[in-house]
Formats: sequence, C-alpha cells, structure tokens
Amino acid sequence: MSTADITAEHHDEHHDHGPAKGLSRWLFTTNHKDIGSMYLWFSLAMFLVGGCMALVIRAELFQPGLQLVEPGFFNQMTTMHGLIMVFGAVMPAFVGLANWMVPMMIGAPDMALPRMNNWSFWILPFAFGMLLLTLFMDGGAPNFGWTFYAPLSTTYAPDSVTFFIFAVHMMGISSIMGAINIVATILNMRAPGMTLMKMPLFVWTWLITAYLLIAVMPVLAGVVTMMLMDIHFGTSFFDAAGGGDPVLFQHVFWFFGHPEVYIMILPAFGIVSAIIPTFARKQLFGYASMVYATASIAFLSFIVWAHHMFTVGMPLAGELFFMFATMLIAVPTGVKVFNWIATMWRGSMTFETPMLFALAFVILFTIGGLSGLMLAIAPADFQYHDTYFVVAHFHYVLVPGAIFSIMAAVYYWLPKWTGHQLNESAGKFHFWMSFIGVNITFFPMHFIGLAGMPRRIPDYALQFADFNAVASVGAFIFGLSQLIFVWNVIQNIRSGKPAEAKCWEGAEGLEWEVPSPAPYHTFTTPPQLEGAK
Amino acid sequence: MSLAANTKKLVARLVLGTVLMFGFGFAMVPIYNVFCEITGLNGKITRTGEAEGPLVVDQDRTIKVRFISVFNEEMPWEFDPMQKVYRVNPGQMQQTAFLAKNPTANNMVAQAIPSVSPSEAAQYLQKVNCFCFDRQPLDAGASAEMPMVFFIDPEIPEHLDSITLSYTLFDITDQQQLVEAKKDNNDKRSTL
Amino acid sequence: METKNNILRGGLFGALTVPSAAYAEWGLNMPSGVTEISRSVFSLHMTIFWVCVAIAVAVFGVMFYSMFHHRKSRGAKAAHFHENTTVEVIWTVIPVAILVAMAVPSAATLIEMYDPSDAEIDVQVTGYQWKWKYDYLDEDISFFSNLATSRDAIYNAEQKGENYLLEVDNHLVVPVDTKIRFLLTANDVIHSWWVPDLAVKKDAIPGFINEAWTIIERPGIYRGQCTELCGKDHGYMPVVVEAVSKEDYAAWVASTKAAAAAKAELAGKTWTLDELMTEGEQVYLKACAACHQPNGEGLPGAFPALKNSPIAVGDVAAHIDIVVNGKPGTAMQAYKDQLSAVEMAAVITYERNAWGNNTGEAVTPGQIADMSWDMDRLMTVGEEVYGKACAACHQPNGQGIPGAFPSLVGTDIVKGDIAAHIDIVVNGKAGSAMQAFKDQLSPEEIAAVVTYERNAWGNNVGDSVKPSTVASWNGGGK
Repeated sequence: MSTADITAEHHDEHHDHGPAKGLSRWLFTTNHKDIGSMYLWFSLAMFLVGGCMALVIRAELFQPGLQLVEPGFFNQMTTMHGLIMVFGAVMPAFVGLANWMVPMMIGAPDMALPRMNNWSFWILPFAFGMLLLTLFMDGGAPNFGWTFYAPLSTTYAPDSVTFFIFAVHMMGISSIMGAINIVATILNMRAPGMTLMKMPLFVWTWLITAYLLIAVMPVLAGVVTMMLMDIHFGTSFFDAAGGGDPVLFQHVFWFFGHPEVYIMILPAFGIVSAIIPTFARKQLFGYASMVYATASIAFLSFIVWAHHMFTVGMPLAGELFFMFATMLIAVPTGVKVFNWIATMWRGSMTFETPMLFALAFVILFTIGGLSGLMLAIAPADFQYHDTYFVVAHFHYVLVPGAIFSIMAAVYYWLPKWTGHQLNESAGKFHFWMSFIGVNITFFPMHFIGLAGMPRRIPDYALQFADFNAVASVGAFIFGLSQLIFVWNVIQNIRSGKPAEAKCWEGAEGLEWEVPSPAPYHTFTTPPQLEGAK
Repeated sequence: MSLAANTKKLVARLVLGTVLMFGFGFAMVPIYNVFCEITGLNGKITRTGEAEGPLVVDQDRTIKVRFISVFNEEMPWEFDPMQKVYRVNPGQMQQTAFLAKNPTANNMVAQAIPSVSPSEAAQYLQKVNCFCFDRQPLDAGASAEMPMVFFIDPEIPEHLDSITLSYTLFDITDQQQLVEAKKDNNDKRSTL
Repeated sequence: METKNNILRGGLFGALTVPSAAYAEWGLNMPSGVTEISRSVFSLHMTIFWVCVAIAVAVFGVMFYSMFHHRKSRGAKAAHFHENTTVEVIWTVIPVAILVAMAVPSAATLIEMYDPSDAEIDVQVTGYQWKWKYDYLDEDISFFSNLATSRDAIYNAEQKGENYLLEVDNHLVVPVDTKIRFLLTANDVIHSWWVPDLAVKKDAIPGFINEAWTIIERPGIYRGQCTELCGKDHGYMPVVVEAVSKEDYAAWVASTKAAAAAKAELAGKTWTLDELMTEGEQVYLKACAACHQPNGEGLPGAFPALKNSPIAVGDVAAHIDIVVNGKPGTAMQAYKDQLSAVEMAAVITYERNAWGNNTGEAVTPGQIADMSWDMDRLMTVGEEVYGKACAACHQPNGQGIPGAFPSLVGTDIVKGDIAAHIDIVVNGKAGSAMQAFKDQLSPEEIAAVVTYERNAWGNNVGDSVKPSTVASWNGGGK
C-alpha cells in the first residue's frame, strides 16, 4: 500500500522507524493501518471466491433440470457460499474498516492491543484455507447449509465436518480477540474531550457490535463443540436416541445467529451515518437517538432468535412472544432510516460514488427490512419459511445492505488511505452496474418464494423457471461488475490526482485532519479537540 | 496498592471466574432437565414414580390417548402398542403394554424415546411406570411385553382432549457395546 | 391516532377492494388456498404487504423528493437543524401503533392454527431421506410416497412434464370437509412437510412428534415440497395431497386395504393344504371350469381332462409351467397375468388333489412367484428397480461416490455371501444412509435388484435370488 512511500517524505512524527520491508512487514506488523489493509484485501478475496460459488449456484438454477452439477455438490456450494460470505467477506471487511478508522476517528495512535490485533488477522487465512481445502476431500466440503442443523451436520455429515468445526473455532477466536481490542481501544484511548456522546457514529456502532461479538461468538463455539462431542465422543446433545434434541441445536445456534446478523449490519449503519452528513453538508440528524436506537437494536437482537424456528413446533406462547419481539425491532430501525432522511432534508446534496452507495443502502435495506417485517408475522411465516422469500429478504439486507455499505466506505475513505482522489466515472459505473444487477437478481426471488419455491434446491418445478432465469442473469451482471470494483481500487492505489487532507467538502471528523495518504503513525500525540462535535 | 499486588488480585479473580463458568457448564445438565420437566417443553415427560395420594377421577371428561410407534433409521424390531387408542378419564389409572420382537439373528439393545403432542399436554401425562425409562435388550428372535402404567392429571386444561404419545425406537446396540467394553476394562483394572 | 386509523383504513381498503384472489392467480403470489386457515393467512399476508407498500411509498417519496430538491446543483443551501424532539416522538409512536394494529390479527390467526382438537382422521407423516411415508393410523394403511419424475427428465434426456418434480407415485388421499390431524416425525434427519394450498408447514424431527391440522374445502390435488435441507435429494421429495369426497375416500380406503391384503398374502404366509384346496376350488370354478369342466373331465377333443391327467399327477414343475405360461398354439392361456400367485398356487394344488388325483402335493405361492422369475426377467426388472431406487446414490454405473456412497462394482458384499447382500438391501445398514428397503420394494423387486447388482457391471457372480427367499427373510415382511 502507499503508506510505505510516505515514510521517507512526510515526517511529522518524532520517532524514525517506518514500516519494515518485504514479507516480514505484513507477517509481523502491529500497525492498525497495515492490519486494516490486510483484512480488507482478505475480505475482497473471499468475496470473489464466495461470489464464484454463487455463480455456480445461479448457473445451475438458470434452467430447470440438472445441467452442470450434481445435487450433492450443489449443497456444498450453497453451504460454502454462505460460510465464506458471512465469516470471510462481510465480517472481516467491517473489522478491517474498524482497524483503519476507529483509532483515527478517536484520535488514538493505534489499537489498544496491537500484537493481539495482528494475531486476530493471521488466524483467518489459515482457517479459510482449511475450510476451502475440504472441497477436495472424499465426501466433499460441508454440505449441510451455513446454518448446519443437526443431525444432518452430525450423524449424517461428511468427514469434512470436523475441519469445518475447527475452522469455526479459529474464526471465532479471531473475532472475539478483535472485539475485545475494539472495546478496550474505544473505552480507554479516546482523545481528551471526546466523551462517548461526541464520538462519530461509526465508532458507536462498532463499540456496540464488539459487545455483541463478545456475547455470542462463545455461544457459536459452544454449539460447534457440542457437535464435535456428538460426532466423535459419543454424546447425545442433538441426538434423540440418547435423550437429546435436534431442536436444542437450533435454539443454541440461533441464539448466536440472530445477534450475528446484527453484527453484520450495525457497522453498516455507522458507515452510512458518516457518509450521508458529509454529502448532504449537514450534521447527522438526531445523534442521541441514533445511539439509543443502535443500543435498542442490539438489546432486542438477543430476544428474538426463535423467529428462525416458527415451524419447529414451539408452544403457542413462545411463538407469540417471538413474533411480538421481532416486530418491535422495526421501531428503532425505522427511527434510524427517518434520521438519515432528515439529515438529507434541506441539505445541500451532491452524489459522488460513496453517496450513491449510501443512498442505495437506505432504499434497498429498507425494502429488505420490510420483507423482514412480513417474515416476523408468524402465521404468514408458515408460508414463507425456508422458501426463496427468505432468501430474497436476507440478500437484500446483506448485499445492497452490508456489502454496499462496505463499498461505500471503501470509496469514501480510499482517498484518505491512498492519497489519490477517486475516479468518479469509474466509481459511478461500478455503482450503477451493481445496483441494476443486485435488483435483477434478488427482486424476483420474492415472487418465486411466495409462489412456493423452497430454498436450497438444485432443481425446481416449471412454474419457477422464468424468474429463476432472470435472477441468474442478474447474478452474472452483478458478479462481473465486481471486477470493476477491483480495478477501481487497484487503479486508485497506483494513480490519481492528489487528495487533500479533507477529501470531501462536507466531511467532519478527526480522520480528515491528518494528511492524505494518512501517515504510517497518526495521533502519536493526542489532538486538541475544539468544543462540541 | 502496588502494580504487582493489583495484578495478582486481577489474576485471582479471573481464575475464579473461569472456574465458576466451568462449573456452571456442568450444572446446566440437571438445570436443563428440571426446566424441561416443569415446563413440559418439547414434549418431555415427567418421570413420576407412584402417584402421591389417591387420585380424583373426573368422570365428566374423556381424553383420547393415542400411541404411535416410530422406527428410527433401519431399526428392524417389531414394536406395537397392545392397544392403539385409549379413552380415559383424567385421574384414571390405565395399564397398557408394548409388544416388542427382535426378528434378527443378533442380540440387540433398543432405547424407546417418548414424545408427546401437543407439547403442553406433556406435563399432564403422568407415567407411573414406563419401559422407556430403561434400555431394552432383546436377544436374537426374542419377544417381550413391555408394560406401562399411566394416568392423565385431572388438572389438564379443558381445551386439551386428545394426546398423542409416540415412541421412537433407536438401535443403541453399538453404543451399549462401547459402554460394556469400557465397564469391562474398568472392572479388570480394579481387580489388578 | 388519526393518522394511524387512516393508514389502517387505507390499507384495509386497498386490500379489500383490489380483488385479492387476483393476485393469487398471477403465480407470483402465495395461493389463497382451499382451507379457512389458508385464506386467513393469505389475507393477513396481503394486508401486511400493502401496509409495507404504503410505508415504502411514503418513506421513499420523501427521500426522492429530497434527493431532487435539496441538491447543491440546484442551489440548495444546507440548513443547520439536527434535532427535533417532537418529530422524533411522532415517528416512533406511529410505527408502534402500526405494529400493534398488525399484531392483533396476526395473533388471532396464530391462535386459530394452534387448535388440533376434535380431529376425525389421524395421519402420521414420516420424513425419510428422500421420500415421505404416510400411515393412516385408524385404518392400518401405510405406504411410501416417492418422486415419480424420471431421471431422464431431470437430466434433460426427456421432456419435462407439467408437474415436473411435483409428482409422486402414491398420493396422500384424504376426504374434504373433515378435520385431519397430521402427526409428523422423521426417520433420519430433520425434514419439513409443506403444502402451500393448505398453509400447513411443520418440521419433521427425528425422535419427536409434531402436530398440524387442516380441513380441506374443495376436492383437488395439492402439491408441496420438503422445506428443510435434508441432504442430497432435498429438492426431490415432493408432497402430493389428493382431496376427494367422503364417499370416494371411503372407497379408496377399502380398495387400498384390499390391495395391501393381497400383497401380504405372498409375504411369508404359510398355507395349509386344506386352505389351498378351499381357495383352489373357488379359483378353478371361476377360471378353469368353463373349459376343463367342474368335474375335471374336460371336453374330449376340445379341452383335456385334468382328472388322472399326466400333467396333474406328474411333474409339478411342468404343471406349474403350463398354468403360469400357458401352452402356445393352444387355447390354454398364460394365467400369470390374470391370477395372483396365491390363486395359481391354490388352483394347481386343487387340481393335483381333486377328483381322486390325490397327489398330496401342495404348491405354495412362493413357488409360483419364483417360477415366473427367470434370470432374464430378474435382470431386466432388476435394472429398472436399480435405476429407480439405487442409482441416485450408487450411480447408474454402480461405482457410487467415494467417501459418500460405496461402489457396487467388484466389492465384497456384491461378490460375496449372497445372504449378506440380501440382508443389507432388506434390512439396511444401521448408522449409514443405506435404508431398509423391505417396506419400499416388493420381494420380487428386491430379488431382482440384488440379482442385477451381482451380475451387472462385470460382477458376473452368476447367482440369483428367488422372490420367495426375500418374502420370508428374517426381519423382512413387516
């Protein structure tokens, strides 16, 4: 990255060491910018791998009948696509953004625990390398869905399940250590004068996300350990024969799983809350309620998990409770959407690439949220559950939701990282191709789900054919468009007009006080904050 | 306090926390059982022994109790209720039995796992004596009549008039052999 | 409050005036179905949908307006407000009110769905990898329901039919206007049973029993699918419910039981000579006496006598052959397609003992079944059965999938002890995906497929299996 160049030229610092040279720089770095970059490159690579798997899926589903892959391999693709995207693309990307931006945003020189930070990252390539290599095992890669319900994932699983469990443990350790690091950094290393209620919202959302991670990743570790015990050590947690219960698996998994999806969206909320004020040239509306709304969403996320299990045979009281609690989450989420719109209202907007992605986020995430509200209605959910309606819902909140926010963040902060202004037309081209592709792919899925197409099937009845064909075309458009993104990023690193410290006219925040590209070490002495922020 | 003393205190607290969390993990087993028995969650049934005190039979209501036998995987036994449907009054003691036969050429061990529907009825179906509490060994070709005594708690709510009790028969011969082997090893060791 | 009522009215007005059923017809929407519950669910769905559309229109309307008007290129100057408590309270309270309004009908419908009391018919639904089993608990009727779509259609070697992937060999036949309770469980992993037209979806969990119910108002065929990932062929285990009038249902029950009884006759029942004679006399009078006469003396010059005939008192095999396969060039037909194995065994036994023939020999149904199954027939039928029931896992070429499904080419079981081979097909292999096929394939089919496996793909073991061996196999014939 270009931060290597600056050490010779821009020396604001008192001490003299720049980054090491060569491979050791990356293996042993404790610098939050280096580690952030590694997370982001890793996430991009995983995004492309997971994306290829999605294209295998959509290619097979282009027409009814089996043309390209066998059902067993198809199940491996759907499973691995989910695992790679959730744990390898979305989460590491947000962690990478946190690593790069949180210290700068709070005026800290680095993260609180830099060596642990390095280790958190380096676990990931090994965990995912192992997971991907299971594709070559006899019996194939994990094929039981990213939600890996027992006993399909215990008694009936291929041998690769053990490596899957190991990989999940490794990723979990990485996330837990990363989250501890974030909390320690934010609570202890803010510049003097930056009270909690003066932090940028991206920092707030990451603080809350970190608490969610610390609370639920151990639960995931617990459930995969119970699986391991059932598979190899003769226990019966999820096996009725020994007095256990497959539904126990679902409860424990979703107790992790629901907060997990909020872990994947709260940082996105923070990003959008940084970008919209910048390009509307107007302060974020309702800062305090944004903080409280985020905290409420995080709290509520712990008490709604069984809305993923409405058809499992829960007692009526349980179904009613989870239905009502889930509907409630719409309130703080709605508050956030209204606040973003109120920020835009009577602002002075321009529509550079980051803003385009942020606005698309607001619109399309809201659509995903509304389909989520429909899913919350338990009696109706009996018709939606495990169909493409659910697939449409979660892809809307994850792709034009989380992924678009990540791209928005990358476009927003790239000039700060590289010192080069964005190539706006290239960025806009990527945006429009992605926006069109994403909608062509996922909007039809609402309809085929309602019409009765189940999830996780490699082949379908004829009435679903037309919209499946449309979705597959959209998927290829969207997938190929991401190559534009890769090109844009690499281009920006290597060339472009020099960017100023404050890359965007309306940008506010400590990160815009340091030069672009940001020096290898920033805020080695804490900044002096002027009054209210 | 000095840094060293502070550190020692923190380490002591963290170690204690770890020990407590570990112990909590072990305590989950009995706690989970108690919780499920009290709430009847997931159709788990209370294991009662003899009923406490004389039962008041409610003559005005009948509850239909249906027995179903389910075979897991390739479990080859024959396993049928002596009578499939009973109409009982709440509080009335009812005796029934299941007829099991192992038609294969191997000695086998089975476990019958009960499940009740609707799940809220589980807490009202009291089994005084049930073979499902124990593992059932049957030699090759042998049959057995497995008795069961139950009653419906008179407290059962008005809207419940039909209960289904299913027994899923699992083949646990392999697991039992492992257990026996371990026991043999332990016994051998203790006589050394 | 005013606003909330207006929104509610608007939403309900929208949902009611626009003919909701029309949306169901497009094939893009949930069906409104054929039960009261399914219609409640559909209207709940449409109401919620329109509420969401209204919210989206309002929210995006404001947003698009802002994106158009409040832009720098139009000369907009940024205002400086960044909070307004009144507005924030309003846009928190209104959503809560909308949610409460949505929660009431939702809870009502859910409570209705949770009432399985007073069911008239109980059907146990068991999910298997990868098919459904239905047991009519009060009728003693039990059968499997397998995907009927051919492999050729799936692999694009053949045109796909209208109900591609949604057709099965045996429908779940039920009467209309009757409360049916479904008791769901599973044999191996978690499956889920769903019929959209009934709005019934419930997970089938191994070791546990779940309950669901329906009252179908209209006769018809209603198709659904498994909706919980259950392995390789999760997409290939559809559900087909056929609702018929109560009279038709009663007739179906009667004929199904009769057919099952006929099948059971072959499965290892031991017939005494007396029983065969009694049955045989009935069959003789019905099917043979027209030509051979009730007294067995035939019509000289036209139809041979059976009394004292060399065939009836001589070699049994020849006697069986002529009844089963007929005598080409004569009027003596092949009865194998007209009489069941039991009927043929009985009539041959009768002929060998009636009218003073008194051979004392009895012919069993098993012998008859075996007679018509020569090597050719076993191999031909065996290949068909293999394609339908085994190839999905063991592959058409017998080589299986390494690490998942074993090969049958040159392997120990197929080339070794035939008893072990029969046993594993009949009783399955506990702890693996190899199911017990005794309940899913007839003894003839099992005999054929085992014979096929032992001789196909160069295995060439040379032996074969008789249907009667399978019919009386230990642990078989449940």
